Amino acid sequence: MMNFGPSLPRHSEVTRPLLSVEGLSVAFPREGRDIQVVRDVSLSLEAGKVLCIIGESGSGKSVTLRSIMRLLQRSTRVEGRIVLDGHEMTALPERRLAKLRGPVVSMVFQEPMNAFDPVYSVGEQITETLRHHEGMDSKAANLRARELLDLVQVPRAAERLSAYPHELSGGLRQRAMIALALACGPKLLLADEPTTALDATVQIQVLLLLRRLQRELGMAMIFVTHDLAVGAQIADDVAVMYAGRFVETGSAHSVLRNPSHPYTKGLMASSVGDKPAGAMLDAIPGQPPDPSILLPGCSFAPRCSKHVDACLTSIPRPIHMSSNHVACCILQD
Amino acid sequence: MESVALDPRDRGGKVQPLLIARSLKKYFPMGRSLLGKRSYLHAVDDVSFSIGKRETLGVVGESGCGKSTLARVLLDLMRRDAGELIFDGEAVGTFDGISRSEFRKSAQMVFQDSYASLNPRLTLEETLTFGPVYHGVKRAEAVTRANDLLHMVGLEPRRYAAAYPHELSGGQRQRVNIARALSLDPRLVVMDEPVSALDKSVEAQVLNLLIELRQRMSLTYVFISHDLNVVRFLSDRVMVMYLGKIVEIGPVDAVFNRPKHPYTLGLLASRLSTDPDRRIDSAPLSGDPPSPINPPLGCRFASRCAFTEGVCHVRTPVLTQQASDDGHSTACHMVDIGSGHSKAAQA
Ligand SMILES: Nc1ncnc2c1ncn2[C@@H]1O[C@H](COP(=O)(O)OP(=O)(O)OP(=O)(O)O)[C@@H](O)[C@H]1O
Ligand SMILES: Nc1ncnc2c1ncn2[C@@H]1O[C@H](COP(=O)(O)OP(=O)(O)OP(=O)(O)O)[C@@H](O)[C@H]1O
Ligand code: SF4
Ligand SMILES: [Mg+2]
Ligand SMILES: [Mg+2]
Repeated sequence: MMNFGPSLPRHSEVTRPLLSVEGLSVAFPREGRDIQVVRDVSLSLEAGKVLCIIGESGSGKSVTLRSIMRLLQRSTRVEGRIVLDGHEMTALPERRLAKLRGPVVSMVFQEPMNAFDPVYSVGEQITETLRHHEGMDSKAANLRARELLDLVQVPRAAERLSAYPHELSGGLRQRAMIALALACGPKLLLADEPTTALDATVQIQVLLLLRRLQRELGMAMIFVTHDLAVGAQIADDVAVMYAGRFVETGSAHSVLRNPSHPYTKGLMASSVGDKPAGAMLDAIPGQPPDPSILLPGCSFAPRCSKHVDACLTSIPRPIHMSSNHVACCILQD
Repeated sequence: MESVALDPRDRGGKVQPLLIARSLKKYFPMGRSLLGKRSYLHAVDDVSFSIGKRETLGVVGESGCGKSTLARVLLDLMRRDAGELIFDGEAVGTFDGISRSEFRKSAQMVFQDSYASLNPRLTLEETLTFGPVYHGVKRAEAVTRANDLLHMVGLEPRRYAAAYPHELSGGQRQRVNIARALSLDPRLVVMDEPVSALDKSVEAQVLNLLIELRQRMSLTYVFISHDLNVVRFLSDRVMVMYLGKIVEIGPVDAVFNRPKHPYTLGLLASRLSTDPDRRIDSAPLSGDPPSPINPPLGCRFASRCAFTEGVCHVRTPVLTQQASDDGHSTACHMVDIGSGHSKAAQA
């Protein structure tokens, strides 16, 4: 597949990006046919930068992250190229892949209960990771585990090490999960909606914490969310995903202040924000497409008030709105 | 609010609130301590408020603060441990008041999980006629009404009356839930996070529908949501809960523009903007809410409050009216003159 989708604008042409994804497509076989859920996604991320993938449920955000981590089951059909820190991820044997998970890339999940084993204490799970990956002895690992909990602002860290996951509040559990993901000092952190299950007052604490750690440790991050405002809070760059494709990418500033794709615009216009009470909202009609039905043209066309005939038949190509802003819409062509 | 006298079901008239909740309590028994003392989770703890006719009361608060439990207790779907409910002037479930079954017809709920709350084996028409037929409406009449309701919530009956829940998207299922809540022609509808499980691009459609129906059917809403913007947009008054208690209640404008409780302030300041130039750079509140099991004496917010003083640990603040006299009340020692809090005198 040579027809690459929109690539995220590069900040400098000389440095090699930490992560580059080209033409990623993912399909799950179902009843003898392939269901395409990620379509021709390309991105490039420099060390120390934060990319936010924004999209609604089922748009393919988690599958994109899991393809980078190579966490998808074997039957999944993955096309395209993923180069992370010089490693061709799609070609790497499982044994070498395991060595990258931790020191190069690690992941934080939406529901931390799934990432922790309920029968071991938080401390045991962090020290085990440190001993396994960093070859620390148990004393050093214990010390480091405590430092990590301090780093993620878990109060009374020493005491909390012996707590079981279910004994912690949602916010503390998510912090402990982040500590576990940071244990081996990854160059890239993949965060899949890590704050969605948290309350507003705790969500902002965790977002600020992630942003601070990411800066201090010089770590790059891909952060997945369905909330535009979360993207605005923490991203350098954003990619808006709809029905498996990146439909608009660019700097957070440019995309969120001057959205150019009708879907991004529609999301902005339909959100309540600070609209006067009781006024009718400019809702986007219809609903996201069923991934088992592959539309020949722009996936958003059936819901787009501005669509022209060509939208229904050909996939819109990426158009540069500016040096760091790309939108895939015929109207911009 | 417009005239409410036209509703033939109206008993108490305009000034009589549609629902009064008095000192509602719901405690869940937990385990026993080593000494054999039972501990209780204080999910709803001495909550009192009223809702005017055709008013929308928004309810906000952190996860686990008791919003869903309050909703169930309010609709008598879950037994309260204490307190009373007065519906249009008549006590619910007392022999000289309104019967529980009569009340349950007039007050309906829309649940958060649109999928789990629909019976997968019933078609939409069957779902919508079930309640009315159970309550004695003739089948033919119930079918006509079901079709009207489907039409009203934007699901064409010709296409959808015979459909099953699994054939619908999340937004469509939530429309069915709303239609079902309306099938008994209720006066009060309690909505527990009706849009939070929906896709962002579908949320606005459902909010528009709720506004339209409220107007058309003269409905009174209790609207529970963790999205403060949505609550502000939809409500006349808003109630802020923290660990089973009301910490602040009042007209939307007053609470959003002149919040008095430190928790409300923190919650409002935690709202994220979609403008990357308006990022928040320090967290308005630190820490998490404490456990609701055997909560400590005094103010339940004391462990996270920047203004905590001695009195906050020993006395529980009660809801106190603001001087503005618009029904804006706050439960904080700082606004209670004479509480002994050093900031109380200036309040
Ligand atoms: N293992 C799998 N097998 C088959 N289909 C899958 C699998 N994992 C995901 N899908 C499908 O792929 C599509 C994209 O899923 P994905 O989990 O990436 O969505 P998402 O954007 O993360 O959504 P959400 O916001 O709900 O988490 C969905 O239609 C989903 O049903
Ligand atoms: N049936 C039950 N038995 C025991 N505890 C319960 C029960 N239902 C709720 N709780 C507890 O009561 C408290 C209040 O729960 P509730 O579901 O009312 O909160 P909520 O404000 O609706 O939260 P959310 O925003 O997460 O929906 C929580 O601590 C919860 O764990
Ligand atoms: S009563 Fe005291 S602890 Fe509670 S909110 Fe007011 S000042 Fe803070
Ligand atoms: Mg996901
Ligand atoms: Mg709830």
